[in-house]
Amino acid sequence: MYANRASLIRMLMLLLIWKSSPLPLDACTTAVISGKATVDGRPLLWKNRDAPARHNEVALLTEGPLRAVAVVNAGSRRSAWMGMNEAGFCIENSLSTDLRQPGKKTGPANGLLIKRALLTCRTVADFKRLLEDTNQSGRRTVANFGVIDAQGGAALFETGPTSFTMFDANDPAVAPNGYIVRSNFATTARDFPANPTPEQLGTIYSAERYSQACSRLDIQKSKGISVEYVIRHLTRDLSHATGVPHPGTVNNAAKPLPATIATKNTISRTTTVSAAVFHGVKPGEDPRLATMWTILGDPSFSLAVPTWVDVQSIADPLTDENGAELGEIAITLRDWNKTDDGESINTDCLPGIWSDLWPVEDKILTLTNKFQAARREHGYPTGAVTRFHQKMANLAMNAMQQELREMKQAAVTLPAPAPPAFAPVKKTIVIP
Amino acid sequence: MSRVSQFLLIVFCLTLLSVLQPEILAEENKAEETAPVRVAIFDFPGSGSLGDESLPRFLTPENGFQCTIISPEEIRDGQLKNFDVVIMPGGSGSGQAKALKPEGRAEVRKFVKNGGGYVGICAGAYLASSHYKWSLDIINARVWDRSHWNRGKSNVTIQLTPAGSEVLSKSKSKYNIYYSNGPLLVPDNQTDLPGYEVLATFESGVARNGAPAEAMVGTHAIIRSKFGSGRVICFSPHAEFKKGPHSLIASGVYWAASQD
Repeated sequence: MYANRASLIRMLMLLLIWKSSPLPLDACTTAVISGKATVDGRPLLWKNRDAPARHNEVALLTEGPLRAVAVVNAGSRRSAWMGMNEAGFCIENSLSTDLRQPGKKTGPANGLLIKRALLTCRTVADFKRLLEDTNQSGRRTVANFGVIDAQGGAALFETGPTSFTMFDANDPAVAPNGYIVRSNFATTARDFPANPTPEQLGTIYSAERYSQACSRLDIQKSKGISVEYVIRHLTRDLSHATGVPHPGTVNNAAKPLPATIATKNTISRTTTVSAAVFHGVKPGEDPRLATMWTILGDPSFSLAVPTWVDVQSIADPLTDENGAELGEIAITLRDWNKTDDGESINTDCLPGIWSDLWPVEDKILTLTNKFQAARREHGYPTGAVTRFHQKMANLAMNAMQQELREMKQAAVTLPAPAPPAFAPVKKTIVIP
Repeated sequence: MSRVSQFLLIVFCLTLLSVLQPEILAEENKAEETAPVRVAIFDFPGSGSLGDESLPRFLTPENGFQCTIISPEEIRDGQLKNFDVVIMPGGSGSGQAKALKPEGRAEVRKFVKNGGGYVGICAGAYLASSHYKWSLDIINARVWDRSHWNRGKSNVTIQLTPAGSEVLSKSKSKYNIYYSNGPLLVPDNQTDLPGYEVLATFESGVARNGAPAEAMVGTHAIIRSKFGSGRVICFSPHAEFKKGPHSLIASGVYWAASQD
């Protein structure tokens, strides 16, 4: 009896802790950016994925009705964590545990719903209908889903198990700047406005990442936000908790780096396992021109590679059931540069890494822009798209492999104290 | 005493010494050859190690060794003082550290610092390193690419350095050897520890479970150093397994047990 009561109390306490605690590993920072706010009029969708599943890969999802490409946990096709389909519909999410409701829930959870949406939804309106349907049948979702489509749609859905609230990024009343940022909170769960200020957020979990992302977008909004900007300046943001980018990082290049940077609450952070930036199309353009830029591993140690939904196969460096090799190299590089407590990164090697990697990424971006312009004008068969995708992946992979070699060489030849003097060896023993 | 007498006395003494000395040296050699190296092999229930079986097969009295299995409790109880060298075999480095507890780890450090030998094989090399919060910090080494520590099990090729040939094998410098998720050793720069000397490097690698293909080649497979008065040698691969080369382990244990 007492044992049962004690067990019950323990379970209730665990439940309470589980309910009230943020889950720092399952996090993510995201933004939905309407075509009104971008430099070329095409919508953008961005997610930095923070998750315990470190080994990620890019996968084609072909069980239809719609063909899709997505970032998945390595070796798993059950769920997807960000992706786009042949209709130009793109989707990602950020976990928001404040949307949880009491009681046991059934139905698709976050990753499963993303996959279902990729296989069935053509537009933002389709996704809204999917949510309306599953409001009735039930979900296990607690997330902010960001979506864009090929008709100019761009919206965010704060989605609990039986209800959701839509925020239209094209509606100036909801998104006066044309974009909506989310980290790991839902405004509807906390009675915040659609675009809360840092002051309104106070000290809630993930407030820093939200504020930093807003700040980076606000700085750029007058020039128009580009895919290049999001890839370089949002996915790799390393800012102090106050929101000021650390000197020497992508958003504050003028000054030298500090010796270490705490990455527990930065956008490019301790737990970031991949990122994606979706470059949508304008209404009337071929939806298959939509591009998924994938960065496997922590973006500060990796490179963005473009993928399209009609590639015949995913390039080798981006796919492997144990973790795509490009991402695994990024894991190795990050691991070597983290502090012993794992909460920060040593910055000694960062300037070298970045000066090697960013020019390669610039080249990939430039070549892709030209390729896309030619596709828009002439149209290319899937074989050509596949070959170009593989070529870009190989460019990135060669740079990452070279970085791995250089980092290993630096590790093996690290200046260390001299070995002690050893007395001459008396004998060796031979055992047949 | 006359000068002639003095001269004759000196000649007599020198002659006597020259007759006696080989016998004295022979006795020393005999003692050295007959006294086996006293080896403690660490093991405990659930260690996951095969070292308690594989090592005594060739670390035999005929080869100059006397092996005894030693438990974490016995180490904490100060029993290492009865040995010349301790072998921390395969298994799990963190598991070994946990089994030893802080008191046991302190005993191992004290044993080596005071002149005892330490041989780490795979997990025992992780344990000896200066990389983990649970490691012994008795050799100035970090583990490269520890995110992919479970890179797989396979035979690999190692190349002995000239120092490795001197310590471990004068007959051959390249070996095919079994590897099983051992540490890829690289230098650390802890200022309170001396550096290490490389005895062998990996010439080929294993890259399963997501490990990058080129990460392993060129990293250090066998290293040696000193901690205090004691000698430390770490083997990442498993030379003690069935196909050996057992000579590398035997020579390494012998070297670690010797004192400067």
